[in-house]
Amino acid sequence: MTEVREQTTCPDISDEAIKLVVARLETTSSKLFFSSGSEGSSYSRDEMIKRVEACDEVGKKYIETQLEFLRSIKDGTLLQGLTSAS
Amino acid sequence: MPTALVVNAAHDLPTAYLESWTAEVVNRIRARGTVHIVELAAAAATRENLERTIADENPKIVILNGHGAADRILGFKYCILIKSDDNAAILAERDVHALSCQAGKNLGPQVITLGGKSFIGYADDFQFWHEGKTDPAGQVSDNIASPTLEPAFRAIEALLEGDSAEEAFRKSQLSYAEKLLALITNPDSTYNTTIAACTAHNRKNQVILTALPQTLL
Repeated sequence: MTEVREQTTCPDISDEAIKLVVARLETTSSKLFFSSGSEGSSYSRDEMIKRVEACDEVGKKYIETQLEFLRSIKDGTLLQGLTSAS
Repeated sequence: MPTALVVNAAHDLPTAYLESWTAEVVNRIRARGTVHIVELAAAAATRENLERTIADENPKIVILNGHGAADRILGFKYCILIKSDDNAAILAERDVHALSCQAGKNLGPQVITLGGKSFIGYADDFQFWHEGKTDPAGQVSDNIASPTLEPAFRAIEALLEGDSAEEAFRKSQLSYAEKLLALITNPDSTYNTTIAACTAHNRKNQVILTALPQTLL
């Protein structure tokens, strides 16, 4: 059966990027919680998956953080920054 | 002996984590007896108490932990502690550390403009994963939160130990780098991606602002 995915509400973030972030979250322990200091809530792993898929304010910010990290690994800037700091 | 004011607006789980980690640092520093620490915790973390304590105690160092935004640091149950174009001047002549989302973006620069000696904070949201522990001992020993919180608190501890803001920032950034190297080489994807991304984000957005020297040699 083909799974029909809801259209993302994040026009500036590709479905592939969202799927990647969700896939990464799915490998994270379901017992963990995410907090962003601008909000008082702590979101479970499963809540974060929903928020990423919905691309709401918290989800979108999380996607941006994750993608920025992956880009920095890919373009070498992360490692460059770490080795120059040590 | 210099005085340090430590404010923890603990009223939810994320801020409770910050309070527990702060307590560990404060207890270590107090044991050395090199700085007089005054605390405003939980319901006492209000603007009125902050302003009165600063006026009465004249702290050299001000540590502010709580939620925030680009132009403000929030206290107990989201009351405003410090806000741009409002009472930021009370931080003049002090070294300030704000573990408070985005406060380094607008509020921090204004604090320096109004005479603040230094401001270490974050120009974007401070993010961290954790195990949802509700007791202080569990929060401090939380191995998920630790790689992200330990570098952040390194700056606070360094300031309370008497380091300059520049040295405190350097130590914190070094701790971030060390934690990140350990995270990205961890075979568990919880660490090498999920936690590493937040740690990298916080490291990148940690800022230090200082006043320009009055004279140039």
